[in-house]
Amino acid sequence: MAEQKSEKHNCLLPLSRIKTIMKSSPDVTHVAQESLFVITKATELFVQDLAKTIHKKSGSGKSVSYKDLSTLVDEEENMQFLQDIIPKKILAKDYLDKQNNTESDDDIVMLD
Amino acid sequence: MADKDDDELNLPRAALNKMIKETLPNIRVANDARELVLNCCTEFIHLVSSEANDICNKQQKKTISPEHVLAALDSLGFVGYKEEAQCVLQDCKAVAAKRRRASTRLENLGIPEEELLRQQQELFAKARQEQAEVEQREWQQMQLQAQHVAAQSVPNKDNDSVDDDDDYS
Repeated sequence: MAEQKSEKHNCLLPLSRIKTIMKSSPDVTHVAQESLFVITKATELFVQDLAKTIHKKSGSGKSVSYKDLSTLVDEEENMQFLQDIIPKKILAKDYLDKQNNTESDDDIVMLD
Repeated sequence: MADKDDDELNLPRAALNKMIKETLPNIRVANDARELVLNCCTEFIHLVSSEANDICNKQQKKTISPEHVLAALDSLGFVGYKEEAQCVLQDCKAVAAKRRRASTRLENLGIPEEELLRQQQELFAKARQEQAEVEQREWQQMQLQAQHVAAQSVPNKDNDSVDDDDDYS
């Protein structure tokens, strides 16, 4: 297995860890070795893509913050699956206002 | 670290930091942003796995094949990743096929294992001998060179030796 890894794939991410994460998904039972490679590669691309896009959006040119990420998740359609883990931060005041007006929204995270 | 449990189910931070560094070489990325990217990766893997699993089940297969994963990427809107991942898959298959051919080639020669072993030992012995010869030649060369150097470092004594042309007349 080690040979397979070093030969052409230069995977930066550990296949075993990815396999563990996959198996923690409900119903996932058997995963072919080649499928693992494909998902690993896709994840690497995902990270690179995410990094490049938030940097572009941040505009500051020097640094990238949480806010850049949450904006991206909001705006890009295929990144919306991340909304649950990167909710947009809002002020507590606004949250309380919203609470008073409508049902509470589980997606909102309070800032101090 | 306080959140040890999360780490077990996340990708290694070092690997992630390295990737971010390679993609954005001179950019400072806040720690909480990095942490988030880590969680996003895990989420991404879950997303693709679930989708691939669904596709797999629909085809009534038991094992998630790479084609299922590629189809999942497609349907989730990650078409760009799908294309690059396809290249990786082709490499993978090529390597696997090569290895299979190589092993069957050896097996199909019809030569029994002991004979193969004997041939291998012969080749090793030959290689060792050749190596010894090369080393021997190199050693001789070195010796010659050393002698040469030694000869040169002696001052021009010969020119000052007894002058045979003394005139005794």
